[in-house]
Amino acid sequence: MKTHRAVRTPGGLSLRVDVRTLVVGTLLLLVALTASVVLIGTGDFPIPAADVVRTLLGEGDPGQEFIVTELRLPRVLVGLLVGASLGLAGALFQSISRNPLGSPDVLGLGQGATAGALVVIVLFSGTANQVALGALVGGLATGFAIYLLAWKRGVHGYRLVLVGIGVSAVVTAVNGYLLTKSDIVDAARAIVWMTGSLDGRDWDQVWPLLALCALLVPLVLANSRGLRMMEMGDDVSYALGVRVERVRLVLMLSAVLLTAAATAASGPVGFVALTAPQLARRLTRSPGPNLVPAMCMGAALLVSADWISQRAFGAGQLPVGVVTGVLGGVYLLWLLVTERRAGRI
Amino acid sequence: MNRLSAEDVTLAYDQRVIAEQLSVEIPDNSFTVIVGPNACGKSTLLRALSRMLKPSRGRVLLDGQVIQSMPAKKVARTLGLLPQSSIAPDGITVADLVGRGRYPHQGILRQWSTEDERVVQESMARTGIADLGERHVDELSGGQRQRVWIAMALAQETPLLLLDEPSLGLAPRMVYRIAEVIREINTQGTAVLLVEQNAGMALSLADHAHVLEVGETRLSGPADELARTDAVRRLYLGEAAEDQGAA
Repeated sequence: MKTHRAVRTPGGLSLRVDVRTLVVGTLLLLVALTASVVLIGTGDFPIPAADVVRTLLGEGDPGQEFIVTELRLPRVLVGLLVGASLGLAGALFQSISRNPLGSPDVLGLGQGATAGALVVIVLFSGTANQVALGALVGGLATGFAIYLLAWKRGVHGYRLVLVGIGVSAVVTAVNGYLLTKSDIVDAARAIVWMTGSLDGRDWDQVWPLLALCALLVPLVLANSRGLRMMEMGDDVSYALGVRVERVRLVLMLSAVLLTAAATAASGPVGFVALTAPQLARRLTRSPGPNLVPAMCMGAALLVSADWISQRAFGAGQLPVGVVTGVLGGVYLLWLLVTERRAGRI
Repeated sequence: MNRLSAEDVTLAYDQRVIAEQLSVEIPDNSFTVIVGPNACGKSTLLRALSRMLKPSRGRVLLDGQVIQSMPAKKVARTLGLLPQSSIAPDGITVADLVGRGRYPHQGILRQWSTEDERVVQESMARTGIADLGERHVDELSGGQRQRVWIAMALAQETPLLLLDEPSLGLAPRMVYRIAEVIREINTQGTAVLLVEQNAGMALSLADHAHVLEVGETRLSGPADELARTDAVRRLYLGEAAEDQGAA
């Protein structure tokens, strides 16, 4: 089915729009925003959705306003931004490695960020901000190591995935070692951090992540046409005039930064980067990296998961990372089974 | 006038020298073939001609300029290439894949013009796949798929087209179809450089040929003359030397 339409102006401008992708992206964004409003209203002091919207528009009563804008809005924003960053980073890595398994969770970027955080927690008993910084540095260092080790006249799909799995194993071992060396208080703190949670997140986590997304998302989208070509192989895209290594370096660096920053803000939230791009892709049924739908899907997935965890187990009981793992994993399995029945895989 | 030429190039991956002192010239509207056995360096030569490999000595010129010094998109509007290692993205349709050949003519504000649409239709018609536009590439036969890739390279609208063994792995009947398509492309004014293992097909199509032997040019000349040479007949056309008397 032909779904793309061209929008043209007399001046020679033309935009190509895939109708289905646009609809899917918009719907996912609506789901994410609706879930956000519901999530803000959820907690020990429930607020009806209409009041939440009114408060967000600046017309609520002062009591609700404090709860909404100071306590719950930043937490939800961190959720949206972390989900979007992970969804985008996952889509980038999967497209670059041309492999659905080539996502940051599998490549060990999450584990790398965890190692950075554990070093700060266990060896220095650092503050929350220092832990976040440690996670950022750990993620970047791991990304750099993977890039160098996978480099051989360019970075290619399988080598990237295999090197990533190897690095991931090493870093996981280091994390285990750090945990055994820690005392019980630090270990408890580390374990909570390692599950990935939005509890107690405030505006201090929102601003850096928002700034990074504002910088990286346009950069990534500007390079997405080249990435779309690179799906056909390095040689074909090279022949089409894509500066393959440059595009790949810019996009990998962006994806590493997004993953590391998201992990620094919320701890490693599993499975979002792996599943969001795959789910988005099955909804849009469009070839190509599907970057924007994956981003919206990541945000919707994370906020919905957080809402489920709060409804089912009460506020602060179950970290969101546990729910995304279960939810994303089950949904992906279900999709794979139905696809196999339909004979598509 | 020579559009594309390699001048005394030495080609190497890291330290491993693949070929030394090769020279090739591709004039406007010409049809040149490079034939030779496996691993003789013919694909490597093609990589150098399409600037994917920088020669360790010598240089490659496109329209009189060193090819490495030219902007990537400008080269892509002059020189089309169909490599062996092409991957059809999951679930992509024929028209969509052919449309990707328009990339060097597009930009962020010019994503899909009426011209793009026209060229895509035309390229599909020229390769005989006009009625496959909405089909998925993964459900096509090998011969159809190869014509889709050729159509994509055509949609690039380049005066020069390099093809790396487009008949590889195809049934003989399909090889014939592909050969027809390529001959037609050349007749309509595109200079073609074809790298082939199938010397019989290659020499019957081209007007100029280079025969490579591991790492060096063994013979160069008009294709029909080379096809009559003893060595070529024996080595690449599978004819026994004794037949020469009868020919």
